[in-house]
This record gives sequence, structure tokens and C-alpha cells, in this order.
Amino acid sequence: MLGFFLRRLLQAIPVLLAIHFVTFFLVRSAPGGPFDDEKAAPAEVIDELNAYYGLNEPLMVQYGRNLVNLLQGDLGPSFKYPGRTVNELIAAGFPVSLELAMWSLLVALGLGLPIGIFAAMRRNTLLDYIPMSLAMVGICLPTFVMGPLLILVFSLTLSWLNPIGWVYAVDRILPGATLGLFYAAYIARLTRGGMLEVLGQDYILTARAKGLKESTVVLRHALIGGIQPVITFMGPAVAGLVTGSFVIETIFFIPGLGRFFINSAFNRDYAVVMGTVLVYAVLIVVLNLLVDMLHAWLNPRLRSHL
Amino acid sequence: MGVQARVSNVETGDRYQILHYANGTEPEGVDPHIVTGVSENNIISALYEGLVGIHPRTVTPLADGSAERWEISPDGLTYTFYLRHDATWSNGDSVRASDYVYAYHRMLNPRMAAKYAYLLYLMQNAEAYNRSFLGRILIGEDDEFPVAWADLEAVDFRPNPASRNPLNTKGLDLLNLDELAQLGRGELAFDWPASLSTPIRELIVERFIQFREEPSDLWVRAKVGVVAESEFVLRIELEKPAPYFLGMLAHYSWYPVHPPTIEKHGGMTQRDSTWTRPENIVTNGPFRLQDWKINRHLHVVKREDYWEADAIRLREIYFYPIDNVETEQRAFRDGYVHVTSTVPTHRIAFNQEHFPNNQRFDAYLGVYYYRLNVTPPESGADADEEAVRKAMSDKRVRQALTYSVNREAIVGFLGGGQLPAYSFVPPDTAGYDSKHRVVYDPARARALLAEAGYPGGEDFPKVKLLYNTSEGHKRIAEIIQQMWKDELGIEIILENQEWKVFLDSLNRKEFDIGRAGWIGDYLDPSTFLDLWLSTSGNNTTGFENIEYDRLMDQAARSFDSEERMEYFQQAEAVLLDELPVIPIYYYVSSKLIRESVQGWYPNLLDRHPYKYVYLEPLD
Repeated sequence: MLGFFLRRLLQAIPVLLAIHFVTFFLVRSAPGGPFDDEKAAPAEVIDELNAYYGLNEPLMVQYGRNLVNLLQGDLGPSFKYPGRTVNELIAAGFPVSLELAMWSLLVALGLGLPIGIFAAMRRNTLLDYIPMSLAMVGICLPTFVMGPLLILVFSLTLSWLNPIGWVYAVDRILPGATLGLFYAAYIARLTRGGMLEVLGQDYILTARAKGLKESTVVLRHALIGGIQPVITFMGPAVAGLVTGSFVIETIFFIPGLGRFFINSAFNRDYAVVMGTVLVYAVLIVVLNLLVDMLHAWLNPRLRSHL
Repeated sequence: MGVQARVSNVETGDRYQILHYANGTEPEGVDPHIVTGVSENNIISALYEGLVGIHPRTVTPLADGSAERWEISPDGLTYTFYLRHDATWSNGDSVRASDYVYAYHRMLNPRMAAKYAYLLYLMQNAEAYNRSFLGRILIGEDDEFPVAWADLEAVDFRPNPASRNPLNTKGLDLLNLDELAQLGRGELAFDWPASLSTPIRELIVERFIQFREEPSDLWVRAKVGVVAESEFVLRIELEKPAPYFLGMLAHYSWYPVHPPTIEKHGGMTQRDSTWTRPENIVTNGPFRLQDWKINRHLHVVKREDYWEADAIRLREIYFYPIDNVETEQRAFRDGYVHVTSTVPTHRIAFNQEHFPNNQRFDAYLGVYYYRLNVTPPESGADADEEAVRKAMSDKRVRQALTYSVNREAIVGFLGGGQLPAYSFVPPDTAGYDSKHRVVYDPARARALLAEAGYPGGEDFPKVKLLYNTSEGHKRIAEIIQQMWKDELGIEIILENQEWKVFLDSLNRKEFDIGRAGWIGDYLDPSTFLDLWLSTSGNNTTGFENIEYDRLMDQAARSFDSEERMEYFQQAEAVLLDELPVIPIYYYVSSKLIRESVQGWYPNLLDRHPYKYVYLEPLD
């Protein structure tokens, strides 16, 4: 197990280096520079700014320096917000995005799993069709429709919750629900599918034949096998929750990392682009690793292969 | 963190004089010498004050800034400011004349690379210092130099693109040490004016080598026109008379900074300084920076030690960087903010129905226009490209395009009180209204197009209209595309690009027709008309007109206010005849604002000094 873990960590290094390399040169090849504005500054000013940030040196030199700084944990300065470092921006935004993802995940699993299990047990009845149809609607309804809809109902009409902000504990409810509902729908369908497959297998029949209670059969025996697809989905889902929160952050005015991620690309704020891309890359690598380990832990057949 | 009872920001704000302001984007910073945007201006004008303030209605200069009075010399070139003795920085230090000198030194320091440094160019020698005009400083400002500066005018200190000698093309000011040394040893040749003797030539090169070997800050040698005559008396010398100078002083690029604080946190030209953090910053305005949480809010609190603290009624202001217009609208509806930064076009009707007393559209000093690439065809370009260049560089085509745009229909579509633009400078800019105007006359447009060789739009080349990606720009482009099709029978291709790519295309002149907007920096026609000088960095149209440049130069040198306006009239007449631009509409500043906000007057600069703003709860 430990060997597997270390091997996978080592594999991640070239992956991250490749992402760094591609990001660096992709961003630099985009037309337009960080200091271009509607009101053009004099050429002397642009030259001086480029010199100040070392952007006038050959690209390979800049790449090398960027890599060396990165290995020392220094992601560099933001051009758009002079005086702010990328480390600082990430330290400010990432925990918020992570927290939002956590609440969303709670909603997604808390709704998705029970509904999926329930639907599987009542297969091909109305109690299966109705929640599954609703889940389909949930998947189809994008967050930028769901968000304003929830605000309209719970803030502007019922006046229970703040329409925007990330100040009070209750401010987590609407964005968490908006993002979570979308994933809950997916998880419900995946759970149902996984459960149906397992419930038809011999060892479930054996368990039933032993006269176990239906709840024990489902929750103790079937569930572990049934949620395997959900676990596989968790890696990309959590990454998607953290990285894909830009829309939610914008709608609800949440100070997360997603807004930096998107805006830095528009601003050609090179170091911020690199910093956010790397944070997300590391996140995805780590999550995939965790999911694989969870699989192994839950599935004895896989464990022997490690 | 606790569960909040649903009492809105606006309700508590009204009770305790706390203004909640939706401020558009996250501010780049609060260093007045670095930032350039509108949201930054809204914050900086709470934190700092300049030499003069502005009247909240008329935006004319008021003696309610650092200076309690000033004197202007009869030739309009020397301004003497007497600073009030009771004005202090937020750490208790007096605001001194030397702080202003330091601030202008910093703003103009080439190492600082301040984007708005050019707004200080009115000051004597400010441009020479900021752009390192070495000849002018090393030789022109040296009284000991054997030859007078006036006699050296023919020397190519600045780049001379007309010269065949690469050194002259580059200009003496821009040669590096290596090139200068070779020049000194006679290994390279520079084209000098024949009248200049060899020893003088050698002396000039020697001066340049000396400087390049040991480069230093030229501030003292440049003799920039700002002097602290005593602790509280500041003298500013202008390069040319400018009736709008006092008004310009209210722009944040002219605000002071606290020298010891800057020096303590990295020094004068350190861009990455942390001196603007709440724990470090020292400011001289009516409010101090209490808290600044990126992408959440920026919070300022009234300074009780401000010299006019008794007159300030607001106690706190929260600025929220809500960059999404829909989110901002919802924030207003729910009482999260008192004021929004804008109103999206498609919300106007809804707001008119639900918030008729809150929606405001005020005339704003800005123009929405299209710029036309008038660069003449080059030999060697491909046939399509050449056909486009040929058409666009034909004045009659540009006139036809301009005269066939129905501006009334466009502002009708926009529906936010925008005014149709028949000239480039917005109406009533410091009392100036263009006498010359473009017309809406499709028949004449068709005739002009026919005259240019495209009757009924026949054989008109594939001209592209480029705009930066946005739903609003797209709609306007489509309307105008249709107008040109209906009136002139020509088919224009629409193309959109992401913002920075778009700017890059404009700079490379890789466009035929390009969307543009310009917001004036100060109340004077020159803030608009200077754009189209052949030397202007913002003139990406290729428009170069000797007559226009001459008229603008005469306006700049003019001592007489009326005569000056007359030169502007003539210059704008040239512009509107040549038409490197198609004016479309004048901007309005649109916003939603609570009834409780008082003292927030409409004005052309959309500036609202917080000194005069207060909240009055409704019963």
C-alpha cells in the first residue's frame, strides 16, 4: 500500500512539471500584455514595467526563473494588484472555495445517496420515476439559473437569507445548495445504477436467503458495492466543485479562488494564472490518488493488485 | 460568525451614517500613483485629498483641499498654493509642501512607471524628466553649457524616423553606453547639424557617456516646476497656460503621499510595496483605511482628526467589489447596498417599473465611438487588404459611413438617457460645444459613396468591424451593420475579440473599424482632442493631420480662454471633416441609488465628494 502511494506521488511530479510548462508558454503566447489598457500608457512606461517584472528577458530565462521560484514556494507577484503576491491571493481565496465545495458536497451526498438507494429499492415504481426525473431536471438546470432562482425565492420573496455575501454562517446555505443540488442529481443516478447492479448479484441473494432484514441487506451488504461508481465520481466531482465554483462565486459574491482563476486569464496576470492552475492541478492529482486508495480499501479484489 | 437577523445594510447604514457602495471591480490598489480605474478613484477620493477640492454639483475647483488659497501669476504660468496649517496626515504629521514635491517626484520618476504620469506633464519639465529627455536635462538645463539650448534644436536628441542614419532614427537620448562610446571614438557616425562645431559635438557625447556610465535620478537636474518655498507654500510652474489646471488638481494623480511611510516600506519607486495595507497606510483625506479584504470589501472610517471633521457626516463607507451587474442589481433590491456602479440596459424597464425613484441617468464626460483605420494602402499587401485600405483611407467613404448612422435610433434602443453624438467632444465640456457637427443624411452618404467609386455599395471591399466581446457592443454593432446595409448597400463583417486580444489588434493597426470609448480625465476639450494628435499614443487610427496638430498646438499655447476655445473649434472641425472616428453616443452614468442618500449630485465627472454626502433615513 505504501509502495503504491509513493509510486503514485512520484508519477505526479512529471505531470505537474508538464502542466507548468504548457501553462507558462500557453499564457505567454496569448496576444496582449498585462499592461495594455484602453488608455494606452506611453511606451517608456510599458518598457519600464516589463523590466521591473523581468518580462523583457528571453522567455526561456523567465521560464527557468519561474520554475526555481516555484520550487521555493514563491509563486511571484500579481501585476494586476501591485503589492499582492500570488501566494497571498491563493491563501485568501482557496480556503473559501474549499469550504464552499465542502458544503456543496454535503448537500450532494446527503441528498443524492439516500434518494439513489431509495429509488433502486423501489425500482420501476412511481417512487423511482419521480425522483429520477427530478434528478434529470437537476442535471439539466445550470447553476446560473438555479442560483438566481433560489435567491428570488429565499431572499427577495421570502426574505429569509442574504442574496449575496460570505459573512454570516447562513450565507453558506444558498450557494452550497445551488452547487450541491447539481451534483446531488448526478450522485442519485449513479447510486441507483450501482445499487441495481449489486442487488441482482448472488451474494445478495445469499444474504436474503439467510433471512437478514432488508435494511441490513441493503446497507451492510449491497451499499459498499453499490456506491463504487459514486466513489469513482468523487475525485472529479470534488475537483469540479472547487475549480468550477466561478459561476457560484460571481452570483453570490463569494471571495473564492474561482474569480481570480478566470479574471487573471483575462487580465494576463501571468503569475496568478500559473498559481491557480497549479493549485487546481495538485488538487486533482491528490483527489484522484485518494479515490484510488478508497477504492482499494473498500474492494478486497483490488487490494491484492497494489 | 453568527446568524444574522435580517436587518439590511441599508437600514442599519441609514441609522448610523454608514454608506454601502457597490463599487464595480476589486480595486487594483489604493496607491494614487499606481492605479488608473474608476473604482479606485471612488476609494482614493475618500482616503486622500489634493491641493484643491471640487464643488459637488459643478465640479469646479474649491478651496477645500490642502490649500486654503492660491495665487496665479498674470501670465497664467505660476501657481502659488498656501497650504492650511491644520491639515494633517492620519498619523498626526502636518501636510507639508515638501510632501507634494515628493509625491510629484515619485509620480514622475521613470522608475515608478506610473501610467497616469502624463497627466502631470503640464508642469514645467515634467515630461522631460518622466520620459528621460536626456539632452534637454543634461544640456538644456545646464546654464554652464557653452551653447544655448535654443541653438541645439536641430540636433536629433529624440528619435528622428525620417533620418537614414540608424543612430539618428534612435535619437541621442536613447543610445546606450556602447553606442555612445563608439560614437566618441569615431567608430560610429551621427548626423549633426552642420552649424555645430566639433568640440561642442564631442562635449555633448561626453555628457551622455558620463551619464550612461553612472546613471542617476535626474530629478534635481531636470528642474521640474514644483518647489516647496516654505513649509506651507508650494509653487508650481507650468509649461504652458492651462485654464483647466486647478480642476485637474482634483484628479488623484495629483494627490500627495506620505513620504516617511513610502520610504519605510521599500522606498519611492517600489511598486510591490505593502505601504497601502491597512496596518501601514497613512493618508490625508477625510477617511482612513480600516480594513481591506480582497474580493469582499474595503472599509473606510471617518477621521476625527481631519481638519474639517465637523463637516463630515458620513461615519463609514463600505466598498463592495461586486463585478457582476446582475448580482449588483439583486444586492440593491435586497438592501445590501445604497448605490450601484451601473444599471445593465436590459434592466432599465424593470427598474423603471419597480424602483422609479431610484434609477438615475446622469450626463457623463465620455463618448462611445468607432475608430477607423485610415492607413493608406501599402505596396506589397494582398489585393483584398489593399482594397480595404484604399476604401478606408478615402475621406468620402468615412463620411458616408458616418452620415448613414442613425444615432437617434441607437440611443432609443439603449434607453438609458444616452445622447446621440454628433461631435467628438461631449456637449458643455467646460463650456465648450462643438459648432461643427456630423449629420444623419443617408442620401448624401449614398452620393459620397458613389463618388468614391462604390455606387450602391457595388464592389465595396470586405471591411471588418471589430469589437471586444460583450453583448452590448454586439447589439450596437449589429444595428449599425444593418443601417449600412440598408442605406449604403454594403456588407460589413462583424468580428469580436477578447479584451486584451482586441487591444493588441488595435495597437498593431490590425483592424478596419474598431469599437472605442473615451472618458475624459478632466473638464476640458483637450482631454478628448489630444487623442488625435499625430504623436498621441492612443491614436491608433493612423490619422495624421498637420493642420489639426497645428491648431491643437496653438490652443495649447494660447493665453486667452476664448481664443483657445476657438482653436479647439477649428481643430474639431478638421476632425469631423476627416472623420478618423465615427461618434455614436455620449455616455451617461447610470445607477440605482437609495432615496436616503443625500448630497450625491449629478455631474459630468461622476464624482461625488464624500464631504457632502450623508444619509437621511426615510420615515
